[in-house]
Amino acid sequence: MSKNEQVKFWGHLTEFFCSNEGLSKNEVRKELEADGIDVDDYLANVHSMVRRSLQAEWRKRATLERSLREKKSDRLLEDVAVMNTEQLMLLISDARDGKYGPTGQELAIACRNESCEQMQPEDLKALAHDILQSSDGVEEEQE
Amino acid sequence: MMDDSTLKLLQSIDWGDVATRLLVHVRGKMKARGLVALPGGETAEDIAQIAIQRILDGRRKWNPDKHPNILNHLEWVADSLLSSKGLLGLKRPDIEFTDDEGQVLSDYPQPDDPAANNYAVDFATALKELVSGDSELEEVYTALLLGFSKPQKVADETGLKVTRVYELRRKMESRVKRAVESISEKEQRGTTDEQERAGEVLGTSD
Repeated sequence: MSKNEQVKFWGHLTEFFCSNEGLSKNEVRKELEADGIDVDDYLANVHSMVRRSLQAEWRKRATLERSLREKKSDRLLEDVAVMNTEQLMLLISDARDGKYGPTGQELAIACRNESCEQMQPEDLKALAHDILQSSDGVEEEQE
Repeated sequence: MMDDSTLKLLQSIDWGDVATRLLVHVRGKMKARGLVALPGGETAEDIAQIAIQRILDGRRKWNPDKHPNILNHLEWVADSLLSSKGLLGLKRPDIEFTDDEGQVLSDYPQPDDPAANNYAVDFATALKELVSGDSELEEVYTALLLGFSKPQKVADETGLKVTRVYELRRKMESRVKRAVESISEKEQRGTTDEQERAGEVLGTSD
């Protein structure tokens, strides 16, 4: 054999040893077990690691979303604080028509039963805040 | 933070399948060097798990658009880890066969590296001696020499069943281990001979 063939031989041997081509999942497992590997133990470690890492990612998302919701809520409180009664009543009326989504609509309809005109300004503002918070982009979609 | 689509993909992966195939890959790399553990004591299982962790924690980002097959990407990460642990081309941990990201550039000795090339020749020769007398192993050896490396291709070339080829692969592993050991012993004897000759020259030998 030529020196060149011998030099490349080791690379081919490595690929040969690394290959699991054509083996089913079960056959791969049996290959490892035949080699004395505790496959159950190995996979238990892998699954545990994957679960922990993915849970950490979802927790990061939940924390971020909570933070964004809190910031949005603060912003809405500021917006609602400067509305006069007429503006608040208009907002509630729009919500009844569905402008702020189904949740906002339900909130507004519940108010009608109480008769909004008799509500205190603070309560009207609280209702307006809840309607706006529940809308979550619905108004933007409709536009 | 990982993007949503990647996170959902990672959740949908059959880790039982991917992790075992990755382990076969890492073990194969080590077996081709006659090793069951790395010089630092890490096993193939350790390396495979570290590779998976690297992808999960983002240290080796997985881009599903660029590399849709996560197993291929994991194998690349594992190879990079092995190279960082000194398991490079052939017995030459001082040679950098990696790029800036630690990716192994080649499993082959570099053309301008005479020491690695000589080792490759010694290895092929030693292994040939160790498989002689076993006709099936000789056939597999020849197929590898001709450039066939996938078990199915080796099976096609030799006429053996692929299940038999996988069995012979296990037999070949023990021969490889012995080939590596025999080269190592020869090198040590060569070093001892050199030291003795040096001692004679300096007048320090007994």
